[in-house]
Amino acid sequence: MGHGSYSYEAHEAMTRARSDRPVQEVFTQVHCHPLMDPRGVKIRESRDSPAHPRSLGIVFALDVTGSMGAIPDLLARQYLPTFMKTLLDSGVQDPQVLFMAVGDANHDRAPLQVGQFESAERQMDQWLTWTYLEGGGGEFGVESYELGMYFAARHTQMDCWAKRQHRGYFFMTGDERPYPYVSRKQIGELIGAPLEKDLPTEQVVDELQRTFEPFFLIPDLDRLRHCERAWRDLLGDRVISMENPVDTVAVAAGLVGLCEGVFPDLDALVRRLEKENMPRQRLGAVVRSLTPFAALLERDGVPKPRLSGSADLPTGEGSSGYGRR
Amino acid sequence: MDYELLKCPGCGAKFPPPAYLWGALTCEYCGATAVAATGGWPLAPPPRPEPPFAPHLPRATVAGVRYAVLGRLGQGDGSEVFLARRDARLSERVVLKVARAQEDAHLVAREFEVVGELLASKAQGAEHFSRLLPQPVAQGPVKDPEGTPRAAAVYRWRSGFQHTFSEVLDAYPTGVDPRAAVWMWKRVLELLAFVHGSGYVHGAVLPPHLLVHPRDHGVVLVGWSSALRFASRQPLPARSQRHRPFYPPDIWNGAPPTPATDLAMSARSLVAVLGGEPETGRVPLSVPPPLADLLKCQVNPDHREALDDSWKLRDRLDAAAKDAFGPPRYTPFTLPGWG
Repeated sequence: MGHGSYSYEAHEAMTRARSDRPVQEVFTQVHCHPLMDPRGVKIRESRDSPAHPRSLGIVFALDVTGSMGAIPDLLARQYLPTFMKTLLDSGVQDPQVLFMAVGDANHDRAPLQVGQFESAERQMDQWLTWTYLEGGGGEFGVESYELGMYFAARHTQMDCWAKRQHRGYFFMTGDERPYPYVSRKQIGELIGAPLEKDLPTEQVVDELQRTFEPFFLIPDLDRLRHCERAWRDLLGDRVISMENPVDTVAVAAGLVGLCEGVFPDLDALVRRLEKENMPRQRLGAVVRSLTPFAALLERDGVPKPRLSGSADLPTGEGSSGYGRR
Repeated sequence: MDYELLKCPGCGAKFPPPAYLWGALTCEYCGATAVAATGGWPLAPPPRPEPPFAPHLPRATVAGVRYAVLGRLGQGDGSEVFLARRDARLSERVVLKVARAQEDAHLVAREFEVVGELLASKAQGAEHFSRLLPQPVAQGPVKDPEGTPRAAAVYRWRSGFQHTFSEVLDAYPTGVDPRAAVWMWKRVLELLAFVHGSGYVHGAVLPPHLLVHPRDHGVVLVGWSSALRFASRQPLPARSQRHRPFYPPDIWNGAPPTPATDLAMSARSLVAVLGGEPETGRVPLSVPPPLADLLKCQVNPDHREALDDSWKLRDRLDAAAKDAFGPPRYTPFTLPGWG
């Protein structure tokens, strides 16, 4: 896959044309599209080609349970072209995007749907809109995010990694915790691949991060409390707490830009977003979401914290400076 | 584990002995891609560990997670504070707080607990203010290869909040611009309003516990180990000897803290950062009278005009600032290192 070239104008026209239509007319699937059924899929490939000599694999794994369906909709009707344009403008030559949809394997009919890596707007859009927004979800604050990560870790191959040791990007949206294990049984049923035993989710994350830069995007601050810590234990500062799902694309593009070094720091990103006439309030929200990760890269646009020479931990035998009764 | 002999489906060449397999393998000879089939390849051993981040840095383990310690940020009365990052590629930047004296170990644990309770608060503005509180990560004894275990807590690093009021004073020995002092105090009062609304007092609003973000005009509070529910009428569990002038006198006699205590301490910290005397509330002449008067009556909770409500005090500060400087306007504030 990955043939055809990308045209921002065509993509923009396509999304604009349906920006007023109801969600049911954009996402028409009422069950898993046969081509997005992961059963029997060995690998999804992102390959270089004469037209795309420096491909970069980008996976969007979208949570399509009840509360999260807004993000695929926002992408399809407004923001995906902006994402592509930002990437192309920032020097990412040949992005290839794969859409994946994630639900709950214990309750949903289509807990994992997988498209293909695509370079052209029409195909990209096709996979996105073929997604079945089931709107179900798990019961106990957990959903099968680990299946999406497992698929990306073991069933994708990317030339950016194989040929250039350059990691692809993996963005997952969601508002719940993952299950602690990838179930052998579920993998057998959904993908049809043999797995000798259940895999701990930590191991899946470890495998995923060898070929991808993974990020987990939580759509708003309300939904942070019950899932943020669990994800931070897995992904650290790559858990991005957004303030509004509308910012998904700006945040994802900003993350790629920061990792690729297009934006030497957050200030550069701000200048860029200002040029695109992003309203001040949204700009602030995007910057706040990205700050912890930028700080980890030391690209948060503030001076380095002043550290005193010694990093020896105290021995516990020192004296207290407190006065007590 | 049974290994199957693996051969390339394209040319029949033998594949290398099973290494870690990514669901697919490319033949070195003919370039064909081979994929694991049902019942196919053996389960791989766990992947090799990756090279560590900056191996020369000291490591410390808290609650089963290993951190690389980047350096020391500061020293408090009861603890030392370090900047660290989780020792993994998918890392997290954290602040590591370790008790210096065994007798203060419970304070570290206590702070972790109080911050957790405040984060769960449903008081007005919780969504906004909970982001200004320290973000707890883990707590437990810190272990390094040798030495005794010491009480420690891990919090997330907050970018840009790296200068205490004490360091601000070092940068401005004669005191900060009173306009800057106004926004600083406002931020402190807003945060305190939320804390008091949740039923807690901070109990240690001291210069080393106030962190300033000069560019974003933000101020946050750290050092929550003395915080307590003021309805409990308990005395403060610990008081800083070094910062005696910042406490209202009755606190040293064991009086239980109230919201008014926090407000008085915040006023005293502000007086200090303006270059004045915290104990008396006397400030340099460069501070306009409306602001100077407000600070002076607020440093002592027993003053007849002193307020004990954070929002009301903030309103009065607004009025005083308007008297002194006219309508609010953005005034840049910088510290060394900030462009």
